[in-house]
Amino acid sequence: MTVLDRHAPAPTRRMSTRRRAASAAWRRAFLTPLLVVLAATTVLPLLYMLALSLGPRQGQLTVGAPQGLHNYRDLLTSTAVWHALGLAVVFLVGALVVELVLGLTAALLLDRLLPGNPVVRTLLLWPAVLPPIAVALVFKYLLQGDVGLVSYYLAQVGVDQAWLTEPVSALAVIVAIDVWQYTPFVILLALTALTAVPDEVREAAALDGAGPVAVARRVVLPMIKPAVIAIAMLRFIDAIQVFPTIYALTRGGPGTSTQLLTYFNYQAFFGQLQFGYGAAIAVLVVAFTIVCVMLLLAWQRRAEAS
Amino acid sequence: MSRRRTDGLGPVAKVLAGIFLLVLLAFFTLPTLYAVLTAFQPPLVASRPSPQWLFTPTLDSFRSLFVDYSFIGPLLNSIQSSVGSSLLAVVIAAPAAYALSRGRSSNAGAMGFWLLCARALPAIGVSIPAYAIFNQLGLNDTIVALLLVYLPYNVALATILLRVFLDGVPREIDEAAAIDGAGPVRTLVRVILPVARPGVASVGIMTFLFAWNNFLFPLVLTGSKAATVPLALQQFLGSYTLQWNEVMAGVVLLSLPLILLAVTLGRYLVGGVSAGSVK
Repeated sequence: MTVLDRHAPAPTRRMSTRRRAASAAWRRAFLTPLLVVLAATTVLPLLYMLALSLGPRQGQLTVGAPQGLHNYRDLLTSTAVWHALGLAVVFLVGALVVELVLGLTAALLLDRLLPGNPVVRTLLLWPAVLPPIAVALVFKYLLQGDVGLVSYYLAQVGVDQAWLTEPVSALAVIVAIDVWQYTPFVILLALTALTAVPDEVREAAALDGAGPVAVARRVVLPMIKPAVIAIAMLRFIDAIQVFPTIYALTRGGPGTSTQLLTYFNYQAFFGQLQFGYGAAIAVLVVAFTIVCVMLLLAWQRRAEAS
Repeated sequence: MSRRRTDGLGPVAKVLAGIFLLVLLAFFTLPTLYAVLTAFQPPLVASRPSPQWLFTPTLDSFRSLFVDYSFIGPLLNSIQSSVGSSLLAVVIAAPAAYALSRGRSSNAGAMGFWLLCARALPAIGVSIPAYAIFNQLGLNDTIVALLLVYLPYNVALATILLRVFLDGVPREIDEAAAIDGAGPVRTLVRVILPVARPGVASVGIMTFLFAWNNFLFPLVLTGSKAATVPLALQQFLGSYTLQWNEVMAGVVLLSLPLILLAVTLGRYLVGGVSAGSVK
């Protein structure tokens, strides 16, 4: 991190036109591999997917002459798609609100009680680096019938819940696992953001008679708002794609109650082999994600400006 | 300094805050501890119908993974695809990040947005065309297929992060190298990257992590030959002879490299995570 603290001063000498042209040339050359790779691995597949979505609804993996927008018409009139999108939004709002509220509270407290403790930071990183499928399998085990650790002890105190076979509790479990894995990560990032808030600002507010809670709410949180939006964006990018948990724990069930957007899309394409229709759903998923990222980005710009 | 920072909270508030943090700690560590415990249980203990806390630990479940379930293949696939993806990403991203860091390009904003979009691209939106294209090229169920689909994510991540780290390397170093007659390539490889070693390390770890942890891509693009550990673990669940202690042993094996990385190189990783988001 020390490299980040040094600031590069602006170049003092004026470059000659010839040197500037040479420097522009090597910069272009250095950027070329990146541009080629990005174009080949983002633009090309997306175009192929668009072409696929204009083909027959089922059974054809190669791109032929476009047949029209029928897959999109089916998509917009299908209640299943809106159900999957709605579930994804419920999941996103639930997980992100809990993670941000819990994470910011814990970060504000840790910043006061154990400022800059490296052990705390390493511990906070652990759950976030674990493979989501490993976390999913652990929770499947903890909730296994009557013998899993959580379900066993809950049954002992009288809470007898078939967690994964009831629609509402199954979705709650999917949210809870995301909260479990990523709240420490939110704490870690919020702690980093809090180190940028100078002590003097808090002291000035405290001298004006504000209590610790008021200082946190009225002074500290507004100062780190752009960072909080950045954290929300990072979580959004991952959470919209929640998949391993659902695959390992519920397979979208019971019924369709945990068939979130990505799983629904996976089922349509790889499960039912509806290649054209599945591609059309994926186009919707990509568009939805990019629009949300743009909105979050605009919100962050506004927060930075004020 | 630290004394002053804690001022403002009364003793009662401090105790309550401490309890809140301890409860959080327990909530976040107990599940993993119990999973690790189960991995070391003998099969007979693990199959009892209630949680078991006391037993003589054995390595039976780990041995069984390799002997009965040929775990070595998926393990090698995981290592090849993750290390390969990490190396590819750094090699492609380093020159680009250097060019972006040293240039005052007018379209840097557009480049940044493209990189963010590549990073945010839903994996399902890549896996569908990738499956269709690889199917025609005969690339399905190969490590190359995995390396290709990891590219946009890891290259974008590495470029975004490395750029932040390279911005922190003073330009006087470039100028000194130029006076010594070094061209841009030599300056980058011999001078700049060694100075930014912590940044390169954290980028290497984070790109490795992305590939190592991935589940959806191996699930849809690989089968018997190129399956990685996450996929193999999931497949074990389907076999009815498998015990939970063996699944948890697999979970421990899959997570072990990450825990080791977090312990030994944790500070680089924390630096990378923060540079990527809230700098």
